[in-house]
Amino acid sequence: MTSPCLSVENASFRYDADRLLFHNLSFQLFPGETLTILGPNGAGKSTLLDCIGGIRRLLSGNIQIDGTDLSQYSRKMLAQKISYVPQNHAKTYEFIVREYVAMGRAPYISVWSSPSEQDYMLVDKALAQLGISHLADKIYTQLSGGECQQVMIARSLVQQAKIIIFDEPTNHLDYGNQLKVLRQIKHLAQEGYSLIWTTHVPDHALMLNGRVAILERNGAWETGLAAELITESRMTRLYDTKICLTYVEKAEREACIPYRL
Amino acid sequence: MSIPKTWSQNTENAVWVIRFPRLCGAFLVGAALAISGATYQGIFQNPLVSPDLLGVSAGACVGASIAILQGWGSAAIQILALLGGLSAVGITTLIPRFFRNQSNLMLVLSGMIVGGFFSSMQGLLKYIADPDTQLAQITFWTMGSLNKVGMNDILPVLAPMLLCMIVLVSIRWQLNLLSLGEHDAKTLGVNVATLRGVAILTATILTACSICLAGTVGWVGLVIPHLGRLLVGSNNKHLIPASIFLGAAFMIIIDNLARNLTGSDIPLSILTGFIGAPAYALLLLRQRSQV
Repeated sequence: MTSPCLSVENASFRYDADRLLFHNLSFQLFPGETLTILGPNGAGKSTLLDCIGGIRRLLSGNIQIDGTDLSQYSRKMLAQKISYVPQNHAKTYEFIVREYVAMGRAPYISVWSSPSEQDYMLVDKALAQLGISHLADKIYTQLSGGECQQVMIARSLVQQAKIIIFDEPTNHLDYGNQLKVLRQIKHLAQEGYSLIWTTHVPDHALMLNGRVAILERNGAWETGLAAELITESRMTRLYDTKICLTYVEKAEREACIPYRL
Repeated sequence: MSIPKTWSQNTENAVWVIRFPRLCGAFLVGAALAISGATYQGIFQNPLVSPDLLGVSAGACVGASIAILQGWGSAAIQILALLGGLSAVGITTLIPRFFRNQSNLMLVLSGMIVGGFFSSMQGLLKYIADPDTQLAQITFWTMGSLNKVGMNDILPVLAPMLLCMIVLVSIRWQLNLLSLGEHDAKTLGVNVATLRGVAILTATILTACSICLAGTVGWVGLVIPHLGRLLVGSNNKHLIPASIFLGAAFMIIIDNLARNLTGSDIPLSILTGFIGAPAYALLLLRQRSQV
């Protein structure tokens, strides 16, 4: 068996003395795997992602990337291993999409320099790969939510990191764009990327059918395969609303849906 | 090659001793204020920010006022203005450390605290100043002027100003990354604290040196980067060089107006305000119609 590209051991975190966000949390992620993290608002999903991305430091426990402790990496080295598609991002200045995506090349560019022709070739390739070449010369701040998300994914692709973190990538997207992002996550995993992402829709986790983790408000952490972990009783308890799991013949898949109102 | 001298010694003096230093001064002050404005706007992810966000102007005014109250000469005024400006920003950057919160917001709030405190100190100094001589001198100084600038004023600040401009021009693409916010910049591999520190330090030295030369001149650091974005876009790779030259050109024009509009010199801030404020309104109008 291959070695994990990411392993988290006994991770704990708290913002202040009273409230422990998560405690003794462990998991491993292998190349080509997806890990969908479910959990209510405020449970600490984004904080966990920030710890893995090296933005915040754990209270205790350790995180290893390719067998090396996170603390051994410089920011630049880490950015070559992990890219991060954030949930909220500043849209202050009117960058051109190509310029914006080229910022994903930052971990490979010296402080005194700027993106080269080669970097822009990678940018154009990533835009083409995502089917958004037509946006290349548009102004980033004038894009729609769905287009923006695609541009963010392009930025993370040119970063050429094998681990990609998505913080609630389907938020604020219309239904079609949500499914587009899901398909992209699946596709990226097939290409060998390892992906960690968070969502509020358990059905998304079922559709992706990879590994799932549940982070509850009290800090409890469970992880397993989607089919094992997503059960009616667990989902009903997690979201405090009656949820049913059923096979939909027409869609040829198991679906996780709420009961009628 | 020799050119026959067809001009008088007086003309030569007027060109080399009076006009030329003043031209250099206008170039340096305009370029410095515009580049530090663009830098501050990038760091703080806010196009409404001007270089005195962290208190450099308030500090410089207090320093200069102290020198004027002591009856010291123009060299002392310059040195104290420089020290006042730098120490105000120094205190501003120390406060977040004290609170163990290194966020941008904390830094901006610290700037407000320090700026407010120094403004009150400035008020006190004006209150105790002799209204006939010292107060007038303080007031004139805080409105900015290049009319007393000579080569001996420019030479001491020339090296630090050029050095800081070279540093900012060299790291200009990285300013884009800072303008995405701390979280994004970190995930893109930027050492945010160091880069932000270097950018704030160099931009502050530039502003402080320009205050040394011409007193406090408003609007340039705010308006010129906007004009630059309209012409070359938001990418700091192009915006920073554009700001240097637009700022320099703007200041040279303003100083020419200051010198020629009336019999005596008009303070620079009056003109930058009269021209800068409506220009800013036009730029905003134009940006709004694009969004």
